[in-house]
Order: sequence, then structure tokens, then C-alpha cells
Amino acid sequence: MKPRLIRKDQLPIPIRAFNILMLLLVVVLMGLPMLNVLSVSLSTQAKSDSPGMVLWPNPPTFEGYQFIWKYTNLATPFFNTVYVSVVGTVLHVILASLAGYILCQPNLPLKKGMTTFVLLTMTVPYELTMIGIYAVNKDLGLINTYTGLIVNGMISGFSVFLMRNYFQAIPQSLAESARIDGASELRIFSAIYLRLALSGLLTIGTLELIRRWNNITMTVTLISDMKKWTLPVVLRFILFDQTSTSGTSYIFANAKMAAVVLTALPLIVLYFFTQSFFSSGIMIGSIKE
Amino acid sequence: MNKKRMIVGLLILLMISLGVFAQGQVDKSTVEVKVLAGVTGGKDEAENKLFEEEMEKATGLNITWEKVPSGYDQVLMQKLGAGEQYDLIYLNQFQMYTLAKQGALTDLTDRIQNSKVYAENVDKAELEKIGLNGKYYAGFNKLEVFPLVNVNKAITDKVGINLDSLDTLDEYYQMLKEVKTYMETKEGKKPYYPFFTYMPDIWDLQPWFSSVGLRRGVFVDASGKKYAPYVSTKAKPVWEWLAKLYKEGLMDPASFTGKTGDMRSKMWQSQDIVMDVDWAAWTGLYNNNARTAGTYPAKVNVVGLPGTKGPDGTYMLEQGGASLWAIPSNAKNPDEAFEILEYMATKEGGLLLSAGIEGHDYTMKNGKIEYTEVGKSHAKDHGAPFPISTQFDLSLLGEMNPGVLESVAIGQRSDVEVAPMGYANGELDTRKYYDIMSKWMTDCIMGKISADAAINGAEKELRANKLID
Amino acid sequence: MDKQLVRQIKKHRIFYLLFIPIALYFIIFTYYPFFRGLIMSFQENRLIGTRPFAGLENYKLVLSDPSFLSSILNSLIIGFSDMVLYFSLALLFALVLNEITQKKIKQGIQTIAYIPYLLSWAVIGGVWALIFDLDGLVNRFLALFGTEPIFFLATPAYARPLIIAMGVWRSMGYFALLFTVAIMNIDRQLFEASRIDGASRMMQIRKIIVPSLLPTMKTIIVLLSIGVLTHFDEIYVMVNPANRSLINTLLLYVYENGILNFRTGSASAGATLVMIGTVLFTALIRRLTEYDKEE
Repeated sequence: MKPRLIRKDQLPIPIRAFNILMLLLVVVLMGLPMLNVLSVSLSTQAKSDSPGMVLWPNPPTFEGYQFIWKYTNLATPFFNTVYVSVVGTVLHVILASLAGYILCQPNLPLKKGMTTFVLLTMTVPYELTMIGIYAVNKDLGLINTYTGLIVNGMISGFSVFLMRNYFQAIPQSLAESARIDGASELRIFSAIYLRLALSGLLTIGTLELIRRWNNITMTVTLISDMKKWTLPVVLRFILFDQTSTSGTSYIFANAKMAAVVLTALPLIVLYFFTQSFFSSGIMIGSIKE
Repeated sequence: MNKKRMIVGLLILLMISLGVFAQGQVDKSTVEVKVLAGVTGGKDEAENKLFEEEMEKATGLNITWEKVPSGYDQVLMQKLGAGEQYDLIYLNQFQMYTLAKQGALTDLTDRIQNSKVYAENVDKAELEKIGLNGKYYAGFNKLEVFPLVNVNKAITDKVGINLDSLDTLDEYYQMLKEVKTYMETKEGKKPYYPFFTYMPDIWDLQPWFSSVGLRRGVFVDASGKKYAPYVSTKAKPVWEWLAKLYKEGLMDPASFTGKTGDMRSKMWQSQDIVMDVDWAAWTGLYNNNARTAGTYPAKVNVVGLPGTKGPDGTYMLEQGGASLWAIPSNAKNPDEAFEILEYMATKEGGLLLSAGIEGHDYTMKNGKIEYTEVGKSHAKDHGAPFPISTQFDLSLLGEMNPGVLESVAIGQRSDVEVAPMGYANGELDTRKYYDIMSKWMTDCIMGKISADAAINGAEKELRANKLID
Repeated sequence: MDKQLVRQIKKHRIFYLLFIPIALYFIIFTYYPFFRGLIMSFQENRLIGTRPFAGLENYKLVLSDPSFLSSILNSLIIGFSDMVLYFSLALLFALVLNEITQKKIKQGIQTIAYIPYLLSWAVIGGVWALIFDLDGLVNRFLALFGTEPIFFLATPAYARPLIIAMGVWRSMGYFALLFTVAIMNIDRQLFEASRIDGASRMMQIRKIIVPSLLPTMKTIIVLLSIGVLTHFDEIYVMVNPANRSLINTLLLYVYENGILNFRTGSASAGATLVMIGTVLFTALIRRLTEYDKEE
């Protein structure tokens, strides 16, 4: 069955015009700043540091990238980030989907209370818990460990409720009939729910991976050992801390933006490719057959 | 059963992640002195290790030099708040006052007064500046310099301006005006805003308020009343002068919204401004950066100026808030911590905190310093570009950036008075003060309200927030 | 009745067992730190050592501070506008995007829309400052129509709109993704059936897509309501003396006045007040959307 069930020409012309306009606007508005960042990163030192907006590098050069590569070791932070992000995300997806599954059970007594319990965790501002979180991690010996970075944020209310939402789209009749066939709850969870909500899993997985990849707050809290730094912390260091009042070696804007691009690039590539999975959606129809 | 196994598995998963990794601290036989540092130390993990060893060699102590390279203030709060024990912590002057008043710092008055090292190396006047009700709660990290007027002489020479004759607000105004006209008509840079001042912290206005003999901050008078000089009627000419600069396009609008980095790149990179107020060290850094770019001294040749002369003939400059080391009240080894504090105040300690580690950052050849490639890139700064020790001769560091020594020397002139801002005896909430002041000054400078109204409004708001009496 | 409840609980005991590790995580890493913070809000400002109890002193102090009070209004205006705009624009964008049949173009546009979310606020702040600068892109564009340059970044009238727009700009693609995934999950047979019935594309959007999105809308609204009072980063990178009084939000207040000043008590009290506001607002939204109702 080809997915092209939707025939474009069935939309009235004014709406089609509006659609095109909106998409163009989005592309321009959101693409422009990225173009600026990219162009600055490819500019010469002098050009990149002069005021005004650069939308095209003239002449293009990789100076900035070469500088940043020599200036700081990006490889170690890169692998640190990959390790922490990937392992953390896998655990996160498992636990969040499990919690989402529990909270989407019909007729589960105390469900509302459990929902509130999870929902409340999202309302606590970090400013209120920052000392407590450090203390917990200290007591558990998680300071300056990757385990600490992985464990903190192992599950989040946000992902739980998204998973609950995706699971709710799955007809309960599927679970009912499986139960009648004698399947265990965990089997129903893994064989039906996880399989059918694959795009949901991928979604929260991608979002969590990105969140972890860019996470600074927790890394700064837990890690003071520079060997264990992750990319975003190195990036922040490059962007800000170098312009101290005493002034150390000067980092030009092209090198700074090169660091920005290098940090974001893996995510952009990843995001582009996972989208083909998103668009495949839940294949409820095919499962039913 | 399959079901049970999976539950157990999940539980174990969580337990492992939480529990097993809790490793107990192994007690060392010797005393371990724990230092929490911000900018001071090695530039990377490896160098920080060397720095730590250097420190250990010099003091004979077992030191852990933990350097928090990012988000220091927040991490300091988290660590101390969670009961982490350190023997020595790095903080700024305002933080020192706050913590001292909370009773979180060890009183160092006796130690400092009895210290031979401090007596030999530290200027009494410097010590005076960090006192709180006659007591000391911290020692020095470095010698603080001051921001002063920085002017790109390469441009003013082209215009034909004699910088030595600049002493009043009006003379500075005339100079900016001439530069603007020149740049806009002869160089075609239009619009050209010759002056940038970083407004958010009203950081750099002291050289101008000097003309009326007033200082930033809040002071306490003889009767114990708190007052803010910048909002007195005497200050009005300066507020009006700034408003005039803006109105006539002499002040860069980015002063309100830009960052210090923008200002600096405009100064030496694009020469879009001719004057700003920046640290004495930056006079040298501007020129050094320009030299790297090949524009020094033809296009960029920054010199420091003391600003405007006050009614009594002195130039008032503001010393930067001190960067300090304090011993928390819960420190396990205050004696050892004080030894480190003392070492940093010595000539040798000063060399370590500026030039860095011998054999790594530099080598000594016939009594002259020679920097390695690493040392060069660390720009003679490992926390203290200007060491606190009076025994320390800056020429030890070899050739300095062009212009910096001249700028630093301005602070030593007899007609120049360098002093810190008013902390109201350690009471001032600096953040609030900056916010209120910069808001009203901005409104005034942008021409939204008159100087009278702005001064009045600022005074009222300072009072409402109990910053002044 | 009771017996039935017990029977129900017994029947579902596996779910409670499975919930234990999850609850444990939240208790250790959220509730415990939260209670520590809560207790601190009733104690004197003290970073080291035992903190004497101060009753409601911190709350009194914070609530009598004019800048805290003005930050409540700012937070509400910015937070609420962002919530409404994130939701509606993301939904609209997802619907529009769904009409593109070329897969690669669709993927490309979606990636571009998502890119702002990948950049740190500091970078975004820098780029926005460039765009809205006096000689920035917007003013150059306006100059084509003969408009005098506008000092967007320092004109009070633009302060809040600019901050709100920044939030929308960064987060629209993010929330649109959540809608897009939900649209993809709609049973395709529904479209086929309606096509056979001769329904137009507009009808399909109105009768199939939008209704199918209702649960997702509810979820997203509830999730968004939690963030209403906690805007911080975009303010932090854009604040300046000219706009501060209009965009100073609750958490910026807590950060600058509490945390940076080592005022453990006032910071915790301020943050607790933010949390109370969030809980109340979220509870309201949860009830209004009938979030807990079974489908």
C-alpha cells in the first residue's frame, strides 16, 4: 500500500497559498540564523569579528575549524558526550515507556494519584533543588562520574506523559484479546505496545538524546574533572569563559561558531534521518491483518 | 517465572545505577588540603595537575586543587550548601562580604596580622580595602587593577587631536565630536559612534563621574547613613553629559544592549569606536591582538588615559572588586589552608599564578624568562596577571603587551586615586544597585526623561529597596 | 465496594510493582531534593553550617520586594503568550507540513524548523541581537519601505513581544514534531474510507485529523502549562537596562537575587512560590482539559 493516499490538489487554492507562505516563512526565519552561524564559522578571522550580519562567507575558509581543532581537544568530550547521551537515552526510553504504559492502564486504581506523583516532579524548579540534587549525588558517590550523568534524568515526567499519550492511541482491544490468550502484562507491553508505538519511542528517544547532548546544568553540577567534560560544557567554555577580565588568548568569532556547528552537526544529521521513521507512524493497520 | 525475572531485573538496574557506584572515600594518611578554585590554576586537566604539584612542592602539603572551570558561582553554592568541606575557596569581594556576614567564613584577622609573609608582601592599603568592620575574612588572589579610559591613538592622531590635553567632560566631548565628523566625512563610516560604554552594570562610568568627584556604589557617612553619590544633585552634569553624547550620536547605541565582547571587537578589530573604558590590562591586549592581526600600530594603537579631573585636581578611578581566597568555617585544615594563602602572596607564588609552571609554561635562561609555546598561549595568566606581592617586579614576566605598563602606571600617579566602589560596609546588594542605576541612567541617556527626573527616580527606588537611607 | 477495590488492586499488582523503581527514582532525585529546598525556604540564609529556622520570614521578604511582584506579572504575560503561541503555531505548522507530499522536502523543512532548538540560548541571543540591531536585517528590510530604524532591543514596547517571539521561534519546531508524530499515527484506513465517501481534503482534516489529535493536544497543553512560570534562559540572554523591568521573570529574580547572592532561604522561598503557582495552574489545565478522562 503506497502512503500517497493524500491528494494534494484537493485543498482549496487560498489554503494552499497560505500553506506555502507559512512554510516559506518558517524556512526563512529559522534557516537564516543557522545560515549566519554557518557563514561566520566559515569566514576569516577579521571578517567574522566585524559587526553586522554575515550571510555568506567571503572568502570561505576553514580557518575557524582548524583553530578550534588545535585550540582544544574536542575528541574526548565528543566521545564522553556520545557515551553519556546514548546510554542515558536508552535507559530513559525504557523507563519512560514503562511508566507511560502503567499510567495508560484503564481502571487502574490510584492511577490519578500516580499521575499526580509524576506530574508534580515536573513542576519543581531547578533553583529549588540545586543544592539537594548535589547532596544526593554526593551521598551516592556520583560526583565526577559518568554514572551520575546517566542516572540523573533517567526518567522524566515529560517523556512519561508523551509515551502515555502514544500508548493511548493503541486500541485497548488488542491488549484485551492478548490477555484472553494468556499473555503476561510485560509481554503485552513489549510485543504490542512497544512495537506499535515505535515512532513514539523514537520521538522521545530523539528528544532525550538531544536534551542530554546539550545538557549543561547537570554536567556543571556533577563534573569538575575536566577530563570528563562533555561537548556543551567545552562549548560554553569557549564561548564565554575565555573573555575574562584579564583576557587570555583571544578566540575569534569564526572559531566560536565553528565549535557551535561541530556540536550541533551530529544532532542535525541524526534528526534528519530519524524523520523518515517518524513519518512511517504506527502501523496499526498492518498489525491487525 | 518470566514476569518476576523482568521486575527483578528492572529493580536491579536501578539499584546498580544508584548504589554500587557509591565508593567510599579512602582516608589518606597525610592531611589533604582541599582547594576549590575558579580561574586560578592550570588551563587544562593536565596542567592543573602540574599546578597542584608545584603548589605541593612549595608548601610541603598534600593539596587537591579542584578547579571548576565553568559556572563557578553556582557550583560553589551547590557544593557548600550541600555540606561539602573545603579548606580554601575562591570568591569575589561581594561574595566574601555575603558569606562573612552569614558566619560562613573563618575570621583571618589574627592570622593575617601575625603573618610575616603578608607583612613583607602585601600593601596595607590593599588589605584595608577588603576589611569588614576591622576584620579580615579573606586573603588575596591577585592585585586588582582598574578600568580606565582607552583611546585608539591611531585614529585621534589622524584627526589631529592632542590626547594629553583632555581633562574635562567638554574636552572629551569635543574630541569625540571631531572624530565622528572625521570618520563620517573622510572615511565614509556612517554612522560612526565613537564611544562605547557598557551600561548594564554601569561598570565603566567612574572616569566621568570623577569630574564631579563622586564614586560608584553606596557609602556610609559619619552618622551611619547610607548614601549613593551618583544620585546626588552634584552628579547631574555627568548624567546630562552622557545624554548629550547619545543624542548627538557620539555614544554607540549598542552600549545598552551589547556585551563587553562586542565593545572590545569594535575597539581593536573593526575600529568602529575610538574610545571605551576598559581594564588596564586590556590596553595591552587590544594592542597585542591588533599586532597579531597586523594592524598595530598603524590602525590600532590604544593608550590609557586617566579620565576627567575632579574639583580637587585628582582623577578618580575604580579598582576592580577583589578576587579573594577564604577559609570556610567548616574547613578541616585551616592552618594548612592559610599556608597556601600565604604562598600565593609571595613573589614565587605570584610567578606561579601569572607566568605559570616552570618547565611547562616557561624556562629561565640567565635570569630571563623564556616562554614555551604553551606558556605563550596562556598569556602570563594562571589566575593573577598582576601578582599581589609588592616584591614582585612585573619585569620578571618579560616583555609585556604594548601599552599595558603605561596604563598600570597611571594608577601610581600622585594625582590619581584608585579605590574600590562603595560596598556600604559590605551591606550593598550590588545586583540590585546595578539594576536600578542602569535602568534610570539608560532612560536619562536615551532622552526619555530629564536628568533631574532620572536622578530623583533612581534615588527613590534605591531608598524603596533599602539600599540607601 | 472496598472489597472490589482490593480486588482491582490485586489484579493490577504487577503494575504497582513495576512502578516501584520509577517512584524510587523520583523520590531520590526529585522529591528528596525538593523537600530539602522546601525546608531551606523556612530557614535563614546560610550557606554553611546549620540553618536556624526563620518561619515565614523569607516568604515575607520576597513577597514584599517590588521587583518580585513585578516579575510575577512579567512571567504571566510572557509565559501565557508563549504557551498559547507554541501550541497554536506548532499545531498549524504540523498540519501544513503534513500536506507536503514530497518526502525529502518535508524532511528538510522539518529539520530546519527544528534546528533552533539545537542551538544554545547564548548563540540564539547573539543571532537575535544581530537581526534586531539598529543596522540589523529587520531594520534594513523596513528601510525598503522608508521606515526609520527602530531600536528594537532597547525600546520598551518591543521588549516582551521580542522575548515571546524568541521562545516561539525556538520551540515551535519541537512541539510541531510531537503533533507530526501523532498525525502519522492516525489509522490510514480512516482516510481511505472517507475518500470513498467522497470527502474533500478539508473535510478529512476537520473530521479525521483534528479529532484524532485531541489527546495529543491535551497532553501538550498540560505539558506546556508546567512551563508557564519558568521562563529563564531567553530572558537571561536578552536582558538589558532598557527592558529589564518589563521582562524580569520570576526565575531570573530567584537566580539573580537569591542564588548569585548566596541567599539560600530567599532563593528557595521564591522558587517554592513559583512551584505553587505552577501546580495550581497545571491542576486547573488538567481539570479543564479532562486530562485524566479515559478515552
